[in-house]
Amino acid sequence: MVLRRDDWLHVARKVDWTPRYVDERELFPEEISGRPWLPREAWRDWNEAYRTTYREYVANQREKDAAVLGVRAALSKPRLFDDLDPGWVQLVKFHNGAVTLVEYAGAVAELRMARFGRDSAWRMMSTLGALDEIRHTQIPLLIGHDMLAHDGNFDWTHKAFYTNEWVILAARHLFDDMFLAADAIDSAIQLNFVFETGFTNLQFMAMAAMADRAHHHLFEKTLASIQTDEARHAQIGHPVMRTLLENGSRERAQYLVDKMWWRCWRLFLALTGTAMEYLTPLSARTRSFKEFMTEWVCDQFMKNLAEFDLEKPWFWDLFTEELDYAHHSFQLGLYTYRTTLWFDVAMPDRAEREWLNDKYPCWAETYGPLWDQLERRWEAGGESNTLSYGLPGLCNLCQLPALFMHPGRNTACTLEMDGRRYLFCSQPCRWIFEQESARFADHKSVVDRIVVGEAPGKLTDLHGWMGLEAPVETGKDLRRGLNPWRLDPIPTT
Amino acid sequence: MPSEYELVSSDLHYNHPLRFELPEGNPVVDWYYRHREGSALQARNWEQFADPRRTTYRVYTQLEDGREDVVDGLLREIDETAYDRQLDPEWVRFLDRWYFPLRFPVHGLQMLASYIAQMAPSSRITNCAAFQAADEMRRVQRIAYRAVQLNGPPLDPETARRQQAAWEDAEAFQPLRELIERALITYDWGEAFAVTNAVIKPCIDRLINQEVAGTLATANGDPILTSIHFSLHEDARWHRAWTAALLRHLINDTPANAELVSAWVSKWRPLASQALEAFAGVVADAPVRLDPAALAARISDEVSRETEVALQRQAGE
Ligand SMILES: [Fe+2]
Ligand SMILES: [Fe+2]
Repeated sequence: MVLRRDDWLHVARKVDWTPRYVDERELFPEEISGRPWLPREAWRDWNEAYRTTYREYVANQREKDAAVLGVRAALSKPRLFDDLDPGWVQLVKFHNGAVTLVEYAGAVAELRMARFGRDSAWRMMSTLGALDEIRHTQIPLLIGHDMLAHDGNFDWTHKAFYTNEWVILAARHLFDDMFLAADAIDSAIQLNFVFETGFTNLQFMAMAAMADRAHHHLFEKTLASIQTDEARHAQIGHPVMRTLLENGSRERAQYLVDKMWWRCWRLFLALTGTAMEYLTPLSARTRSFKEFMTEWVCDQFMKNLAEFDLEKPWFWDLFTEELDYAHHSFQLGLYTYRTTLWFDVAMPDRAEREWLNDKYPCWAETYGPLWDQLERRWEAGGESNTLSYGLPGLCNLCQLPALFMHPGRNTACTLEMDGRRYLFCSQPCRWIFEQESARFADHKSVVDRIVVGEAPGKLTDLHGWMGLEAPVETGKDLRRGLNPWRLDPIPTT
Repeated sequence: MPSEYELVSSDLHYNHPLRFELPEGNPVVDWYYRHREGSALQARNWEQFADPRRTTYRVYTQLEDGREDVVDGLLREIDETAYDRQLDPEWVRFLDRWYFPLRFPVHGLQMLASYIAQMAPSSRITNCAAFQAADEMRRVQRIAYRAVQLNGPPLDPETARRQQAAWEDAEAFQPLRELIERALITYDWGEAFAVTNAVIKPCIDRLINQEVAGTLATANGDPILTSIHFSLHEDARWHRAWTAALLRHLINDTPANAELVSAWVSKWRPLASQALEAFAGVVADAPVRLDPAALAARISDEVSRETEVALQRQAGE
């Protein structure tokens, strides 16, 4: 009789023993295993829902890889871009640069849990999680390499995280905080419980739906396939959360959840929000970013909070207000600072503006005039007239320019500490900084580095410092100023 | 044009060297700077190491799925031929005392590989060690499966406890247990790699896969266990192959690494020899016995010779 998984798996998953020759606190040092440091018995019931065996894993994953790589093999390399909208190509470049090597850092985080997770069943699942994240690095590297023949900037798939490009620097700061420079317990809460159960759905499933409509089937298959792995190893977070709550660490757990929700929101509005609504061709859009956020991310997050009787983060009202504005304001920043990016940025055209206003009723009133103004400046003084040259105020926590609200509503704030003045884009960023100031205080934003002379102040030199070779690699207006509406007469009042 | 392996495996640790974005003073950042950047094991060019099998994720799942098919077939054969009823009860008792408890130390090897993988300064090393960790998980699961298949199901909790107690208390296991526990708190990444892959595994993998579950099992009328571990040992052979390739690279890159690794090997060898000899002793406990002293000496010799070759500087590379 062939054994059912439940007959034997617990025997293979529960293989902790009591160390005799070394101290358990040396075996699982608090600085890397995490706090609270609980006795082993506290972790004994660690369990998660998927319970995947090694045998099942290699069989399933082999098939999944064959499905994705089969699509790649069937593609004609010389015609790779033929069906793709130019904005969509930029989105893929943006996504690949911002995501590929983070996946590899994710593998390191999983490996850390595979060694320092306090229960053997946790370590088993993290071992598979580490393999998943290697997969999530390797497939995009292949796709990025294929696209290199058509667009040299696809080398940012690999290169981005080695540069000091400011969006990437912000991402590095976040992912260090979330897992690469975090202990096993914090990683399980921040990476698995918040980021993977909440946000990767948006980056991978929502984007996959769009990729499908944008006729980019390889990208669609890749994203959807990656998300099935994420959904599995994300489950690592739940039993860790349960153990924390059962052992008197509710306050810390709530803090980690609040912090990571806010920080993930910041990065996703900047990357995903803007890409979905300013680079995706209209024909490929389904829901708006706000709708995806509300229906896919917030709903799931609320369920997770309810499951553990955790509270809604205190900044929820501000978050809800930002859903209507933050990524739209950020897009203006991306557009006017586009020469500091490795991908091209679009000005919304007429039809897109209608779509945006349809989805965000205040859009035309708030943002329409600002884009009109940029158009007029282009007409009057050429492209250079549409660029920002001043230094933006960068938040000392999220590292992004402090411009998330609508014009006329400023949420930026400051903090004086040990003779240094810190700037924040918002109260939640300042609050996080204050909770863990020892973790963040010595960090310098790009602007701080310019001010103290560690980075060049001149934009042309700054490009080099950020790893961008101008003008080949620096971001441009997607349509190179050739928007059809510019052929129409400029409206005069 | 880089190969697919090179394309997807090279230069992926963007935080190395000294490139965490969060400042020092963070315990995890400091851990890496101390045990990775601060390790005595250094190379000028880490990226010149290449896995001799060129293992990518796709290659790995394909290869292991095939190997697992083979093991599935063997386990099915056990069910279909009433194989377990024909085993000598004394041999079954042996398995209960000395074989099924091995899921614990093999999990220790899994933890060690995970540590090497997360600390390695090159992603090509990380990938090898991560796949190695998964291979050890495979071995843990096959040992556990067999424990339940032979005894049950379900495995009664008393049996499970007895097997754990054997690992924790039986004399023959204690030097091995000490070796693994001490290796687990060896946090310098270079030393952790050396002790795990150049000292512990070459001895213990041979002893488990080729002797206890190999020659001895066949001699005691359990050839299927031998076949299962033949498949598991294919993994171990690759662990040795990439280890040898990495040592070769390290020494060609920086000749002083030969002495450094030798010193680590010498430091750990006495405890490893004790572990080998003590555990090899159990082969005298089976109904059909092997000679423990001869067996331990043979493994020792093989491993010493192999290490010596690996640590010699190879001219012309
Ligand atoms: Fe991933
Ligand atoms: Fe993940």
